[in-house]
Amino acid sequence: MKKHARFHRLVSVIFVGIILCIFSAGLFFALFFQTDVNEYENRYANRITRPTIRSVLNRSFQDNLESAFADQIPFAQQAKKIYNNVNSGFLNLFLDPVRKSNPHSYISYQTLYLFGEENIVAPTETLSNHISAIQAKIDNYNNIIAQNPDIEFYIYYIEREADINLETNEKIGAKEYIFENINIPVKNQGSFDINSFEDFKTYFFKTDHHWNFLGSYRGYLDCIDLLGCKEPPLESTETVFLGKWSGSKALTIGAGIFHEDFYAHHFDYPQMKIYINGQPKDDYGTAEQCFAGEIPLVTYSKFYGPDAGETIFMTGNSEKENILVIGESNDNANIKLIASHFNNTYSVDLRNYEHQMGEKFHFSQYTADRNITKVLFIGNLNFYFESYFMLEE
Amino acid sequence: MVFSTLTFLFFFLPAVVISYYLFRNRIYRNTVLLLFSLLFYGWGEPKYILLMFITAFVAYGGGCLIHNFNAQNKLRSKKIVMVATTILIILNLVIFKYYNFIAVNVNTVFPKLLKIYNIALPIGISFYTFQILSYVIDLYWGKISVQKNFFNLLLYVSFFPQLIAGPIVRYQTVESEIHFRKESMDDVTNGLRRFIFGLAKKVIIANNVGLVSSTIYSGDPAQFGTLMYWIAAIAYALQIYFDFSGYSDMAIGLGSVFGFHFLENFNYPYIATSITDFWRRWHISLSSWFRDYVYIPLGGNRVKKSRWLLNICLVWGLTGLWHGADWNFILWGVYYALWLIAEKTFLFKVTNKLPPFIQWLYTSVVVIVGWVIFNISDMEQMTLVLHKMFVFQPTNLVESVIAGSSIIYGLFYLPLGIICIFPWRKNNTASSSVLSEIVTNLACLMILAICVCYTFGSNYNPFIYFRF
Repeated sequence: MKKHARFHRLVSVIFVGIILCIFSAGLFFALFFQTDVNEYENRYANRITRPTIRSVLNRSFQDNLESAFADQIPFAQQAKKIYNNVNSGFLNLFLDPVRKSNPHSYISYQTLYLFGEENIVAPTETLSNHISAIQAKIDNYNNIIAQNPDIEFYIYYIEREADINLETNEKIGAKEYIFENINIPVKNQGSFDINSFEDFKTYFFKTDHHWNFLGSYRGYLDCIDLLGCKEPPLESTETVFLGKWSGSKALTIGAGIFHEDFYAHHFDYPQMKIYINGQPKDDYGTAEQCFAGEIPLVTYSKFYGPDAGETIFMTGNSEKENILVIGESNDNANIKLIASHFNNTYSVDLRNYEHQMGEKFHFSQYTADRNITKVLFIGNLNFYFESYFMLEE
Repeated sequence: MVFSTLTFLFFFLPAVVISYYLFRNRIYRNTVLLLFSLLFYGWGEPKYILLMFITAFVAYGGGCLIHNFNAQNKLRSKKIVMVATTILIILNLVIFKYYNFIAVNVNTVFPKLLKIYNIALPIGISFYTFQILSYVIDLYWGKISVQKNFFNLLLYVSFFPQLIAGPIVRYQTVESEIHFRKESMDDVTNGLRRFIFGLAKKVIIANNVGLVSSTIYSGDPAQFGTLMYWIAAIAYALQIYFDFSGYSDMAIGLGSVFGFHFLENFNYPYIATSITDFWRRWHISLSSWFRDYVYIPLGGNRVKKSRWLLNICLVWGLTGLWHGADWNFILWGVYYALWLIAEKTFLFKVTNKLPPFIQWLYTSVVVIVGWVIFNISDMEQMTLVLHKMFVFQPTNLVESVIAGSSIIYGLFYLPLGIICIFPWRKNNTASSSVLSEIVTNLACLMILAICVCYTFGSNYNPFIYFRF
């Protein structure tokens, strides 16, 4: 009886000890071994910050701590992955026949939709929801344009599925509104148009929010034409299949079970020096290493190049002009192609510039210091309504 | 802070358990619990700690005066203090929870008479107010001794396991345990097991069946027919049960870890065979509170029949109002009052003759319809939903799935929830074998691992009972 009680106690002690160890170890690793990147969700990891009276009172510290735990606790990403794969696998099991029998309907899937047999799409936006933010951006850019008469400005608008109702092909008219109101001559305006689901399916990833290798190449051809580049465009030497992957939209809704093929063009780029956030780099992105089979394909931005605050491409062709490209992540896929037509190409992502460069981006100062004669705004609808992309004089 | 958050599981829980058991002295242990309880409460709304502190102080002061007047045999003064303290405490609840509701309704009759304020509802105010009231009233009735140490009373009020979503623990239940409880390894083990089961109820079942009901209720009504609205209603009934009883399990389990023994709050309510039976099994701490502190003082059933019926209506109107400051909650309370009156006057005579399954079915339908009233505050939508439930409209399953694919989760979680409403597990109070202990512990650890996966993975994590 005594022995039984002793074993009973031992079993209890082990049970309680395991639970306390699991939770305490989570806390210990989250506090002392913090990581910078959440690979699974393809973003910076939330880190535990010091509390201040203000941050505690307004609860931002508490919210941040919860987000940080979700990123920093060991095996958190694996746990999320298991959860998401099980959930989406179960959902897909029953959704699959529905999708196949209704290929031209939006099928709700958490915050996004399934359309066609395999595409994950964002809902169609409404212009009126964003009109004030878009107008503020236009005013901001018009002000910059007016203050810099010596610079030639270009705009390239990338339509995506949010610009069109894929069931009816009705478009929201955001591009037209921007082109009508921005003080850039019509000849300097270009766009990547999506007029039907077929267009979207051809030029965009099924599971990611970016354009695919066909879309980005078409965008490159449009841009160099728009920018008046005389020499012929770079042409692909081969098209390579790099494997299956799940893009950002699939990961956002935890539907990692949705995969697609990742193809990429291989180009013979001219020699160029590359600086990312002031640091010299061998290359922008890891495309060459992926082609050589040295590293596996991970994500769009790892393959093509990161959303760096500032990326500089120097071809050494001093007879050519210097260009500033202000855009978002879609241009990661073709910025190096565009850069091959210029002397120095400065690619700025305003979401990260101040954070990574340690200073604000002042447009006039920046362009004057670098003898920039052309500026290209390139982005999709979000580029025009999100406040990150505002410019300062 | 919520039990099913990572902050609670990976920061608060290990910190409080380790800190608590670092000390042997009861005073230090109580101090640890008080400090962590205040941190727990302040985590969600730091400013409202002061409000809880003041409320507890009013009860403390009132309690001391009641005790003194009692000792001096000044019964009238004692009564005045009790009434004044009770009014002050209730006034606090009325201002923070009901003022805007009153103002909006008064203003519909007398436009712009009362100003609407942007008052955030202090978390758990309904629960701790009722706990404090039980202390004051029980002290007045002489059921308990006065608590002369303010911090011990504050610990009773703010004790984190039951602070924000109950159960409503009466002072009487924990009076001696505040000073003389004895923690044991069995209590800690059983407490952690209970906590894990509660967590599983919340994160595995409640959150996922909740997706089904919210998808249907927030969707376009044209897409969903009668079947879907019944599924939504059943899903919500399961969600609220597993959410709330899960929280109660976690609270009881955590209390046990620290040597406190709270009374049960749920007893398989969805196996009830009458509405009367249901309310003996659902949120027991609340229904018994209203019974002891409102219904019986009003005379209970030992009055004229008309007064008795009025008592029932009053108590259930208040029960509804306690759940939220909106007309649907009052309607929900009155709905139950009417069913209870019907059962007590004539319905029992009919239902008692029916087979148990039919009795269960009748109770379940009444309860499920009740949850629809409870859940939907927009009267227009509520009417539409009830109409859809009772006037048959065909359901196109494919269209329903297209409109809200999350309802597919219902295929797995609804049956799981339905299975779990029945008492499959025998209460095994006798000492069990070491092997069965090991198996139970391993099962608990596996469930915990699943819960942690769900907690990491799920971004849908509302705690319904926070509103109250």
